[in-house]
Amino acid sequence: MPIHEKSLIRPENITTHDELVIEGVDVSGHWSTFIETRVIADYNEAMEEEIASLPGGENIHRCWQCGSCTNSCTVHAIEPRFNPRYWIYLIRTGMESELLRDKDLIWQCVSCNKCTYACPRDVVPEGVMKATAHWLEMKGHVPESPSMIFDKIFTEQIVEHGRIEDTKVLMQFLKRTNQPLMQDWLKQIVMNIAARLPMKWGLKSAWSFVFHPRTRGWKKAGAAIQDYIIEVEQHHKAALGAGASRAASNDNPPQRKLHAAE
Amino acid sequence: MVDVTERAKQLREVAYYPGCALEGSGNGYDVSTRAIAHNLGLKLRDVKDWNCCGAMEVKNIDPKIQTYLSSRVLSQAVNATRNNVVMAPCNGCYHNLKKAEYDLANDQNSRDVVEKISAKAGHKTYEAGQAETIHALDWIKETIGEEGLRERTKGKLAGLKIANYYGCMYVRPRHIFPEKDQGPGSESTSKPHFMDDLLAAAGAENVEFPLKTACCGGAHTLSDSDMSTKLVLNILQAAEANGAEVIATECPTCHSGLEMHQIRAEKRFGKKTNVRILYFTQLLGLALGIGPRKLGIHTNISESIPFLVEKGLT
Amino acid sequence: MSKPILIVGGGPAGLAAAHAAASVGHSSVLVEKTAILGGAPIQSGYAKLVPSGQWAKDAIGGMVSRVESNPKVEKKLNTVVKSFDGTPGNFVAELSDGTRAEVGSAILTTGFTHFDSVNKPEWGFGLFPDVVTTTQVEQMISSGKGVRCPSDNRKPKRVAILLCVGSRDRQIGREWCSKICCTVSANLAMEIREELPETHVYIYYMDIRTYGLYESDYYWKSQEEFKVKYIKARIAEVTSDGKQLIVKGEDTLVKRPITIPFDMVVHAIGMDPNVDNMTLSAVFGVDLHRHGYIERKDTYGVMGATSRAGVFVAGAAIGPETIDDSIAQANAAALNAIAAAAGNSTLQAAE
Ligand SMILES: Cc1cc2nc3c(=O)[nH]c(=O)nc-3n(C[C@H](O)[C@H](O)[C@H](O)COP(=O)(O)OP(=O)(O)OC[C@H]3O[C@@H](n4cnc5c(N)ncnc54)[C@H](O)[C@@H]3O)c2cc1C
Ligand code: SF4
Ligand code: SF4
Ligand code: SF4
Repeated sequence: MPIHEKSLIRPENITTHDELVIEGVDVSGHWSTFIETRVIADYNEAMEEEIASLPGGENIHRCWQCGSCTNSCTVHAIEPRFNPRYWIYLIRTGMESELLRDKDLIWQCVSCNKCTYACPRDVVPEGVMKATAHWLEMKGHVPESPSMIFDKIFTEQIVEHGRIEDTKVLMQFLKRTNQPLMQDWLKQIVMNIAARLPMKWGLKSAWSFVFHPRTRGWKKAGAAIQDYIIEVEQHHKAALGAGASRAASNDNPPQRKLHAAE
Repeated sequence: MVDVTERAKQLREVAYYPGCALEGSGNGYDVSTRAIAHNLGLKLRDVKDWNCCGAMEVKNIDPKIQTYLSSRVLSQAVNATRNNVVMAPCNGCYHNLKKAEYDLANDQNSRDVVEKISAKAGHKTYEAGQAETIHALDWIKETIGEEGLRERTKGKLAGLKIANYYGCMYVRPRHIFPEKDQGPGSESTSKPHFMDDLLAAAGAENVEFPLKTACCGGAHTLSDSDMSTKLVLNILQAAEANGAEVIATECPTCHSGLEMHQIRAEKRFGKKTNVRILYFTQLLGLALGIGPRKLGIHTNISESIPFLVEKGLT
Repeated sequence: MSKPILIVGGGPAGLAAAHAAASVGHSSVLVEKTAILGGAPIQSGYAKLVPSGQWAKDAIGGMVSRVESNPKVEKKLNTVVKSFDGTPGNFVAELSDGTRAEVGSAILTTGFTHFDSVNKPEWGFGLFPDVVTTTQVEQMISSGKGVRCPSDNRKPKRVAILLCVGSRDRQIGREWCSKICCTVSANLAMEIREELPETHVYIYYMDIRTYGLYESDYYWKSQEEFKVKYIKARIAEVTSDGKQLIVKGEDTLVKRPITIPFDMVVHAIGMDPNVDNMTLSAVFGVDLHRHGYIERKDTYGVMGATSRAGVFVAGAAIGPETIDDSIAQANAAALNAIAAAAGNSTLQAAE
């Protein structure tokens, strides 16, 4: 077996036999070559269209598999399993189960747009990563990612006030993801600044925390955005059909205003 | 095309859009930008009742909301000054305003959504072309320029080794920056140099730095901190390996990302780096003889004051 | 006797048109912008041509000399057309040398412009001397100097040819295939292997488009007889470790990143629309294709018709084209131009 095909052997596919004799040879136990079939039995033909209907996924059909996105990708350099080109291929051909093997990686895209810069077909792979992460959540394949939680907290503040206050976003995020506020490194950061004092600065951020920065005359704009959010969310659900569910939302904080009523 | 000196004159007064980050964690960038504007005799007119540009976070919820938010900022900037130029020092804001401008000029769907939300919100819809967005780098480069800085700073940053870090949002994707990559004099999206040019004019020695437009992982500073720490550490180590004493930044998100993850890299991975992180406006301010407090250097997380004292810069 | 025809551009297409007209007794005025005739194959010093295997200086050189010695062709070098007015049978062209030409019709054979690799800085051209273009390799071979690394004149042990540089790339607004560069690259790879049998040649591709009869003579032959290696990957960047060039990318078939050292990297550069096309469009009143080439108005009925009656187009001015097809188009255009000059109104589209 060529060395690169070893990656095809997956722990879940290795078969084990307590007692197995083939042509007189005892082959009981783990045998990495007795793996389950690798035959692809069917395509999910709706998958590409569904992902294309979510924001960012519009141009997925253009991809010709050149690899420029993957080879320029920031995350790929750190995590080789993060491979936008490959995922786009899986989505386009509808190999859902293959894609789902990497479901916990896709949201990690850092939106650096190196892929977008390199892509000769202007697929906007960054957008496709966002759309795919969205799709995985909407289909209930993955719980809401930390990144999505962060984006929602952020957006809620904007809908409400027009602006954000970064300490408040940070604190809410840590709370909603059940992380301690006083992590060693965060403490160090606060101490670094506090050591150089400015009492005034500390006061100022405390002030903006209580009196959240806001945009004057924002109310109507905030409401208009909220309406729009509900509208697109319904639209996306319809595009994904009955399959869209928030199966995983139990793991997450209670329903927030951002979601349309379910 | 407007001639260069005419344009320089026009840009002496611009609308100023600080954005959320400069009101909070990026306070030092705001303070130093205002301080050098004052020193250089450049006028900043704050955009009235501005709102968040939409940032990456809102774009992830739905890109068109980001387009709307940025369009509202642009509409507030129209008529704020005679030239309708709005200067945004934050890469995120700058990028988003540019992106909104591009989308509104090229995509009917975006125009429809923006029109609908604007109508409900009760204000006039921004139309592409009514305002022009520039970055703080463009602003200094086009008004004062290298020649002007050379005269005013007398090479005060001499001997300071700097790695210039521009990040992602200033250059990518390329199509939203039609004025870049236009030959001599224009900014490059693959090897940006405006910050290098300005700091060199103030006497600094720019080191060779291949990670100018690498990503600091700012999108996941909190949601995937290990990833961000690794990416930042790469940048810090590359800067040090190339002999940099300071990394100059031009974006509050990159800046605080570098600062926070410098500490996190030490705490979590035991990897200590010493390179200092300063906004280019703070460096130019020092070169112009402005005191570190007036430039908000003490509010940076990264400790650089003893070093600056040692270098005779304060 | 009807008036002469005006031929703009003295490359393979222009030379063929002038010769074709002369051989049926029709005179022409051949206007060429540069100081020499022969077009890209002569100006850029191509080596052996696809598919004839003849040296460009012999094959195209022959076309030049038979036109040079032909009294039916008035040659105007270092000249461009300033204005062009009138109707079929009666046009007046003002030339940059201050003269006027009264002509019955015109053929634009103004060709293409080589893509400038500086516009893809990630692939190292202009930064590293050993990153070169296919035209430079053609020149190394045709000049007899052989394939050498420009930095120190050494024989490269390993050469990478990157396909589609400046073609098939929306990021730089080039949404066409340059048609000939796959075949030219396979041909060059074989020439390199012939001169330097120890040298390994790798071709990085997205698709291989050695269309028609080129498949067996170039693609297969280069693999089967010359052991040229084909790798399905579009390269991310070309850098250097100070000694060698480093080519980075993803080998898409094995799903693994690659970081491979090379001595020489060759850009298979594409065929851009002629940089003069905006001017030509204005002077001759002809429409341009949305990609910037000169637009053909009819595909089947009148070969080479443009949006202006009496003005025809042939060769790489229409889009990426081979030499032999350019010549065929030029012959067809010459026939139609002669008819138009005679005021022949039977020229009608086949539809
Ligand atoms: C690297 C490379 C290798 C190639 N190798 C082969 C090969 O082996 N075989 C093959 O079949 N094809 C090959 N080609 C393609 C070949 O070059 C073209 O098919 C051919 O040159 C087209 O001929 P042309 O006369 O239409 O245009 P050109 O060769 O471009 O000639 C145009 C002429 O018009 C002149 N001109 C331009 N503008 C004006 C103006 N405004 N006024 C007056 N004159 C003007 C130019 O100076 C030039 O002399 C290769 C192409 C490349 C890039
Ligand atoms: S935007 Fe995402 S997918 Fe694209 S290069 Fe960056 S991390 Fe990779
Ligand atoms: S760069 Fe674009 S075309 Fe190439 S594999 Fe990635 S998405 Fe597909
Ligand atoms: S001929 Fe080949 S190398 Fe040239 S543009 Fe077409 S596919 Fe690319």
